[in-house]
Amino acid sequence: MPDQKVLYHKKLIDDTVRFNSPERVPFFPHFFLWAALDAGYKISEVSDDWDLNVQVQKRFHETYKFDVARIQSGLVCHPRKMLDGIGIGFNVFNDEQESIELKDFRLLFPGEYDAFMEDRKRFLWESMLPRKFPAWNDLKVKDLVEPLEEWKRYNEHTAQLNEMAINVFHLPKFNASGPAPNPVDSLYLSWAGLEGASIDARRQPEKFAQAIALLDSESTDPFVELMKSGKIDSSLHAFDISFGMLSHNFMSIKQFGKFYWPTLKKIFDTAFAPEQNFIMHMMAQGQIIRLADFFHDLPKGHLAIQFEMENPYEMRKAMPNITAVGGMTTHYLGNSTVDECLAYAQQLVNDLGSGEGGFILAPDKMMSYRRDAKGENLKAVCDYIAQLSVQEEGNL
Amino acid sequence: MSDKANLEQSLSDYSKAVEELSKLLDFLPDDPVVRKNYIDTFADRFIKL
Repeated sequence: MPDQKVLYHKKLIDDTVRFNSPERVPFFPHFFLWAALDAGYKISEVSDDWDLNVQVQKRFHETYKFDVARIQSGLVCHPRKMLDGIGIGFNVFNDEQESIELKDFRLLFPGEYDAFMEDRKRFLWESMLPRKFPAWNDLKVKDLVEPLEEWKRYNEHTAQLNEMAINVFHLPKFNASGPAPNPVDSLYLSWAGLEGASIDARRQPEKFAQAIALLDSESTDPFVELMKSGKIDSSLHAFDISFGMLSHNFMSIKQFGKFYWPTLKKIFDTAFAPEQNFIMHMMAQGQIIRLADFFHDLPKGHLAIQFEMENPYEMRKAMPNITAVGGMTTHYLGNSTVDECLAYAQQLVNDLGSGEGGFILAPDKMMSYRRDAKGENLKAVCDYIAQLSVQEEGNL
Repeated sequence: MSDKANLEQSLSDYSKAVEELSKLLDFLPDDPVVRKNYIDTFADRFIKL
């Protein structure tokens, strides 16, 4: 029998995104490294100790009450032991500054797009991996035995955490499909680098667009077919599908329309069609309101955009057909008194979180640094939101 | 993992490396496409780390 508490929180999210008059505003977690620091651990201690990561996640969800268990092990706990004996990764773990820094890099160069498109997987293996790991071509199959074992253990760890959402935290899992493919962000974040991809998009836009189209055919098109297949089971998930976007911040509006929007439109057209009727979470790092015109024609009641560097009131006004996720600033969570923080949360709930829906309270950035939040401020907001419930959990 | 693979195979050639690495993946179905996809996903993660 389904866990009634899970279904209660799932319904809150569903009613909010569909503008179906939710019982109360939901509170959505967006906490990553902060959870480890708040538990008293160094980043380097938690980042590759999965048992410890389980403890961190358990403590976090038992201390702070949210409506979704957003467990993404990869953003707290990296499988970096996979690289032992292979080389050095791009993530720099800095315990002194309590941060993980990501180096910019370029593994795909402007004149290589044709070779890249001809056989991307071979190109990645034979050209990009040796660039990243100078010893790659001297390595043998036996050198990948342990990394493969580690990758398997990591996937098992992730699955274990996801099951904890239901069995331990009694919350819906984040989304049923896993993140939808994002070929543009892959070019920026994995292959050409932030600077490199920005240059390529300007100097050879047609080649850049061709690469994205190819990647779309390899990844987005199969995802669209998956959505149509009826195999996405979201019975224990807050959202049917999710999508994360970052590299739109480096594009002009015209570039966004050329490079980014076609992928999104493919996903939206299928996800929001009556046959699927999905609700979708979209994490838009950085800014998004400047691109609001693209989203105006989407049907109301399907998409929730988690925003960062935007005013929550302006988000709701700019995208009235879309649920805004955010608003709880690190200024109040991290720098104010408990009373000031609570007063701001109450103001947001009263102004945006009542009525037909369309607003989910959430931190307005990925909570990664110690000063992003004080534990007592966060707990006060969590407890305030929870007490807005009229129906008793588990007694629907 | 399987002891059928040639552990001395160099990684420098994608096709040969994937062929041998696939033999290590006993926990997956005995389907070359599934095993190749697993190796490709693993390689993608290597790039991102």
